[in-house]
Amino acid sequence: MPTQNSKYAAVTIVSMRYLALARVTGHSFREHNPDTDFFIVLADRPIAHAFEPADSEFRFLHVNDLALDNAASVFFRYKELELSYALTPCVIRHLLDIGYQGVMFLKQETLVLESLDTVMSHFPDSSVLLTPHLLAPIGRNNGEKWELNVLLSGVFNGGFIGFSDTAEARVFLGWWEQKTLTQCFLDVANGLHFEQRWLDFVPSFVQSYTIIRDPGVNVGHWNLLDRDLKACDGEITAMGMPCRVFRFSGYDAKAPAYLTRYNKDISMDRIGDAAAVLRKYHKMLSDASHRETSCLSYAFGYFDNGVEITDAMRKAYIDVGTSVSRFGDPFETDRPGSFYEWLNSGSSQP
Amino acid sequence: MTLNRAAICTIACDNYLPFVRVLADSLTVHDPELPFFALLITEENEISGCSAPVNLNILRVEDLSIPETDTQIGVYDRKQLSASLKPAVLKHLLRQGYATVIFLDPDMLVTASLGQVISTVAKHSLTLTPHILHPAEAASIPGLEKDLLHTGMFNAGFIGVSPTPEAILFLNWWEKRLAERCLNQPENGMHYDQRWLDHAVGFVNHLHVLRDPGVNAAYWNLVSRKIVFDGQQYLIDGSLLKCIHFSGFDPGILPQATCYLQEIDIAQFGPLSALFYQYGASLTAQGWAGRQGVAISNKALAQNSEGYFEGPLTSADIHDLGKVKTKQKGAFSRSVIMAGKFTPANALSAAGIKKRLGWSDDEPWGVWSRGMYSDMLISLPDALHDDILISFLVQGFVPKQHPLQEVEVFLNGDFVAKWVFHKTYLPAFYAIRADQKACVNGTLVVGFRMVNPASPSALGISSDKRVLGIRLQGVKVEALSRHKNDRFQLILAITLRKIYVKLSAWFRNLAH
Repeated sequence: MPTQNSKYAAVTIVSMRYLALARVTGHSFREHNPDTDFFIVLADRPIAHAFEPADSEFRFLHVNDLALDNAASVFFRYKELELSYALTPCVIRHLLDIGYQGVMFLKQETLVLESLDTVMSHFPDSSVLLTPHLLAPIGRNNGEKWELNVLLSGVFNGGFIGFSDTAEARVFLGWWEQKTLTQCFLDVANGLHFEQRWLDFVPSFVQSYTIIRDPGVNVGHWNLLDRDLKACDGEITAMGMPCRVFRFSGYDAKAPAYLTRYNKDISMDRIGDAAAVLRKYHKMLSDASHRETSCLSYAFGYFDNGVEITDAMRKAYIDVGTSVSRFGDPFETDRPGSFYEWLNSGSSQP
Repeated sequence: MTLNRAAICTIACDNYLPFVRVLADSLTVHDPELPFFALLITEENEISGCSAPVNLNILRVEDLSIPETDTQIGVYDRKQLSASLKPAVLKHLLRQGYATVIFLDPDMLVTASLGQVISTVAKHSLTLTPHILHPAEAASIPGLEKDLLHTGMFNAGFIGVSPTPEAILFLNWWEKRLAERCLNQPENGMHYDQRWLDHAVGFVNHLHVLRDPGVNAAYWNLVSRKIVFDGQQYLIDGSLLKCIHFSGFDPGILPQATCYLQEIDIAQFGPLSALFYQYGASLTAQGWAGRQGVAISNKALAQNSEGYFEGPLTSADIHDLGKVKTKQKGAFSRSVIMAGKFTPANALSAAGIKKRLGWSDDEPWGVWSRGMYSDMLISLPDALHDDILISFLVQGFVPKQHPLQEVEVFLNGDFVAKWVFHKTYLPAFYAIRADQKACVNGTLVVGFRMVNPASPSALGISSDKRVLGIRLQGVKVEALSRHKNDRFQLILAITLRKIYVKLSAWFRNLAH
């Protein structure tokens, strides 16, 4: 049930290890949008001692609340981050189901710096809100290289999207969910980029969508060098507009000299005033106990006997195809006919 | 009224001329006042057999004021070249003062007035049509979703523009990218001109996504749509069919709808299947020369090749126009589209052609030459007073172990042409022309001297010991008189156009 006055909800998805990122995303969102409920969906098993009293400002959901079909099979097939990404459409759909008229999804490594009223004002008339990675051709040298990169990963960024509770939004979400629950992989040669590339279909499938063209919304490593970031009296601007949403996609707190692991060209000394945002974010992460939570283990990374699940095992599981259902819960080891038993039997027969 | 300031355009290489004619005719029927421009990329200004509809304005690459260095004649194949010039043509027509310009692929057919579409296009910087409009449509053809992720959300067979600054900026950017990267490399984010269009959602503020099922209908969306014929017009999901895109169309494979997908039968399109047959008939009447004469996609090539192609071709090694131009000196223009009947090489005697020396046994696809020299006798009808054009659908024996084959062609013993084949070329039409003098005694002798024939056994390919030079698939013989008037009109039109271009350039200079 939505909290009174909160017609809309904002949400992010994390495993326990990334709880501090969700805290920063959620807290910065709430600071500037205090009337909107903020949800943290745990794509993991909750670990009670990791939570702090301040977390009461968020509403927590657990993957089991989403009531997925074959949930264990979905949790097993994906790596930690893949699962968080794969759940995006289900989570948005769930929040619409429980009564919100509009849902903003913010990927876990987001910093909100201003009110998002201008964005959420498109609810509920627009079924889908999207931000393109690029608002203009890249004029720099090798611009075409980055433009092609965006074509391979999706023209819209999946880290900041909105859905209203309309019929066409639900049709899209239903289709998208089918895709992400089975094919949320990075495989650009086959047209896949986690959950993101499917968003390219929005203008085809959805009649009333809005493309947010505010240069201050969803600034990240893919457009930062073209957005003319300036810091003045603690205010950050992008092309003269207030920077509302900054995304730290690929940011590694252990390597704070770089903005992202995806592009090592973007070091602190090359990003000018954006460095101030980066320092601020780094501090916020450590205040949110990032060091402590990042040591937490990932529940879906282990069989129930404690054996770690490797990528090769996940691949073997996926390769079995649809007949995988005969294994039942793949995490279970202590029963005949389990996936674990098959894995260790040396049999090549699925 | 906006229609007065609107124009339609297309681009075609020589192999697509019949499509252009059919499109032009369809436009004349439904929007006779709309000017139609066709950028023709042929080797010469020779468009033999073109019945030149009144509204057809021919553009040449040199009319487009693009620097020579920016065109890829000589690097791109025909499909790439045609695709890469779309922005230049659109910009050219906007510069001429048209307020709305719509590009249509040559294999489009107009089935109702485009007036309403033009009004919509006029209100936006850029108008694009998505391939499909609903998730259910994605599921209607196996593999379609993945195909679209690879080839792009919007179909580049329809592009609408109006002269806003952001439209011009977009066209400039698109043109620049296509100058070097009009490639078919889905794994690198490219599918000719089309994948780049996906950036329009970010780059163009006033982008209009035209979600009308009656515009750019094609096999990829027709299978899942409700099609009704009311006796005069087609309704697609309730919307009047205005233009249909016959992508991969081949009258020879009907009722298969497209050469790209075997499983799509036009019976699935209900009443619309009649239009497919009509379109096939129109194409044939306008000189359809077989799918071999059409630039097929690399994918189709990989599927269809029965010869010695080594799978998909890359842009770098594909047959290119520039080379043909120089290498085929002496041969008649390859841009000729045959109106006469094309005879398979394994049934030539029925057409009065006798394979005399140096041929292997007939095979289902045609015949191999054998040895250093092969020739044929062509009997001509009596009382012939015109030049004769003889076209051969031919490819050399060019396996990867022996990629190049040169052939000298003789007419009645006189050297007339040298043909060069490379393993990366498609089988193509090569033509020679015989004037009246050569025809006087009623029989022509066409001889082929293979400069470097080879045998599969010597090359270690198979045990086949035959010495092979060319593989001939068909021959067409036609008198050139048939199109004399049309050709005269066309040459006149082209000459006038050239004078116009020269004069306007002169005036422009004067004005400066």
